Amino acid sequence: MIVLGDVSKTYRTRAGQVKALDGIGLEIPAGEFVAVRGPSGSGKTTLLMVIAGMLRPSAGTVAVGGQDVFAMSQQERARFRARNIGFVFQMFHLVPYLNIAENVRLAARADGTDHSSEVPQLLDRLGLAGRATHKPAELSAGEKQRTAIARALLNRPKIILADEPTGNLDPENAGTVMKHLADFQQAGGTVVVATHGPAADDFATRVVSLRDGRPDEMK
Amino acid sequence: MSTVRMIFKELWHRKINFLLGVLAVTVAVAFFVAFQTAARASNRETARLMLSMGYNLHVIAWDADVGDFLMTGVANATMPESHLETLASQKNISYNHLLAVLEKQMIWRDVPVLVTGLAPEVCPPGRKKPPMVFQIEPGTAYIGYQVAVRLGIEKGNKIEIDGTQLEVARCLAESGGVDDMRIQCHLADAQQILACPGQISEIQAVDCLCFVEGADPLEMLRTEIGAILPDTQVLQAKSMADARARQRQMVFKTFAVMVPFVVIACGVWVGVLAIMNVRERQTEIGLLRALGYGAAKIGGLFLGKAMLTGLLGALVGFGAGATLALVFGPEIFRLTARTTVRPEAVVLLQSLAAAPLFSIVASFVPVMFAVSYDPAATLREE
Repeated sequence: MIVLGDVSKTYRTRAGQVKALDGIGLEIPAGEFVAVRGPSGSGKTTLLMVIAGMLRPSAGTVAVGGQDVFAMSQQERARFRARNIGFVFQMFHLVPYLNIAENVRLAARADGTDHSSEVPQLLDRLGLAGRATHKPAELSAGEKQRTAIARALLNRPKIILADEPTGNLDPENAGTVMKHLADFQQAGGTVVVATHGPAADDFATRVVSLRDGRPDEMK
Repeated sequence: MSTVRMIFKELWHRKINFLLGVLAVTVAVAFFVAFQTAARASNRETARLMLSMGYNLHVIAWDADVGDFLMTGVANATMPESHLETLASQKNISYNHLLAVLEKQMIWRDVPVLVTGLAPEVCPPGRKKPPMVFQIEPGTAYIGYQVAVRLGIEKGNKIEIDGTQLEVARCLAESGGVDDMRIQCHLADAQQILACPGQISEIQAVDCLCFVEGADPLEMLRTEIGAILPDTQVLQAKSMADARARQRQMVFKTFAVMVPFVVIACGVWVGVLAIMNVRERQTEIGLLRALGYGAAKIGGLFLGKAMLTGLLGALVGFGAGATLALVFGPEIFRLTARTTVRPEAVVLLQSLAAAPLFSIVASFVPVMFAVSYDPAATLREE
């Protein structure tokens, strides 16, 4: 379960202070597929980063699986993230000098437990079996995002956080990506997807709308 | 995947960045090697050039008249020849190139000549250097230009001076100085001619106090030699010694200033390249942090690359620097180039040790900045 207790996050910019999250209280039980919707600048990505323990909130508490994320040291948090959380980004963020199989394997190394033997199966499941030795530059956007999902899935995380995972994809590929995330949820995982459109609505068990850093339940 | 494999894959992917980094280190090392080689050669060349100015230190007998010596250049009292051995056997002293001399003016075949007996030059222990003057074999003589012209003496002639037979080994070229009136022979022959067995009139030497700042070299030498040979006086050709010291100090300081300047400039270059590399890879760093990689592992990727850059730069730079020194050295250091301008193993070792370290240090700040940078900031793309 993910529990956010009155979480606020304020950025300091040249133009002044910007409140990205404004006192959010949110509980996401294990096994849910939550779509966080909102326009650009509404705080969706900040919310995911806070849940992942990558961005310390200005106020409030974040607990994942019963553990206070920001009570851990930076090293403990990194290890916790590697074991429990998979990330999928809008821009894929694949390492350009590694091939697809190596990109997926990166996650295994970070975790410390070796799941790399599962890479071929995972690539096969995501329709990337013939692309294992290709570099990211040789892949289509849909293939890149599926690689990112494979990387997120490799360590068998409990949670997947996806930030606009379909933002750069055509509708067909967007649907494929959402289906893979839904498969993960149906297998017992928790999915939190940040998106500005309705792409995830059909798959989500719950939709949270975010506006000016405040949540508003929609579904 | 191991860190090393990732480093090599990244190097291959960003070849230009890597090659620019290697080039920066290569330039730094090449300058360092060329300067080091040139500095050593320059010091030796300068020393050789300064030596050609002659001996600047004179040790004469305590009872010799200094005023007379300064006016005539010849000491009017003698001292035991063993003084030479006493001085030459000392360790940790500030002089070198010791030459025992016995000389006296006399009239020979109605011509005033200066008979000069020279012992083979000796050096104190561990300071062996090639002699500054020619070594005269016993039974032979070198005849000054004016003496040879006036008396019609030629090479190979047999001459007799006060009962001592000598063969003329050389007739010297005109010097325009007192050497033109000399008859130079071995010390033993001069002692026989001048009836001074076991005696010398002077020990000539070169002082080695070029790099003592703020001290009075003559005072130091008088204290040092006075303690060894209390029955002597020490005189120094100060202008000659000062010119020698200033020239050597100038060469030393020139290189001491230039080498750090070049190394710092190249360090900044490597640092800037490291910053560019880090900026280019900020997303990758953010991703690795998001995946749970620690700062040490991420830092290892960048610092490992810096080390490889340094190692390769050191090897290429040493080759380039040594080549520069070998090509241009002989043009610059004409007297000593053949023996002194050469690639030096110690400089290679210094380069191999220093360049990777230098590269790591130059990259350290941007890398540490990168690994401590908020990964969320790089991955947030709303």
